Amino acid sequence: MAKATAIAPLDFTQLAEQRGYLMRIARLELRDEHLAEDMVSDVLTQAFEHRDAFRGECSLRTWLTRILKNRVVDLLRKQWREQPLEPMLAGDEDFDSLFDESGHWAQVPSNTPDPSELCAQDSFLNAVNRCVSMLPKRIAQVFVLREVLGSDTKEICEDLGLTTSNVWVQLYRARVMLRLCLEKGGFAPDGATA
Amino acid sequence: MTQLAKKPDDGVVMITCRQASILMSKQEDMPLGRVDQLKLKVHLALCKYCRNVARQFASIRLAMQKLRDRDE
Repeated sequence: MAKATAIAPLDFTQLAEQRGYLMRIARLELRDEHLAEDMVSDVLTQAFEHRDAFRGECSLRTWLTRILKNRVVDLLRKQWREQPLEPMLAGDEDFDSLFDESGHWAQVPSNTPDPSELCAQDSFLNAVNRCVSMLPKRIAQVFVLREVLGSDTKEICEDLGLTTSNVWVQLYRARVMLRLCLEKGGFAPDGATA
Repeated sequence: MTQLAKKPDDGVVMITCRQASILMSKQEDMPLGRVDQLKLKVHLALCKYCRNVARQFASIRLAMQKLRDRDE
């Protein structure tokens, strides 16, 4: 189907404008500034070389994010192949201490404001950033793939060769660990953060 | 006998905070089945601790998107 208006060819400036966005994703996913820089440069170079393939069917950002995601998945696959997973716990046994024998929270979760209110505070975003950086590496990689790169569980299973239940467990772990980390002041309303 | 009569319901609908936390996380990744949805709904209606955790999970998700999109 011919488009009514042909889009102007991409120039490098338009691509370079997306660099900051791509870097924020790559940093969260890779936790390594140099690796992130290299990957984002590769993505921008590849995008420029294949700029004819961009037909404006999605936003430039979406298109670039897809290229970045493919790069990330390739790298993770390679890393995971070279360094096979230590046998991952199949369940959530490692969280036994969070609950009492009757399944109640052993430590009462703190009162938490509305998500939009909380996320309007830079202090909260910074706390989340810090807590993500302290997650075990692989758990963080799966979590960032899900939450930042927007892969669904099915894609993650296919891309990384994990089972569905394994992906759920990893994401559950990530969320539980993050909330524990954020319980140390992170969820407090504005002004009360440590 | 009265206790026995109550049991099936307890078994079907009532879940622990631990089970609720698993469903809350799962719900972030896929739609829950109707039975699980009901269990979680009932639990959240009764448990303010888990309502806080639900807000915490939602905050974490929103924060990740903001960390990606900020400085616009």
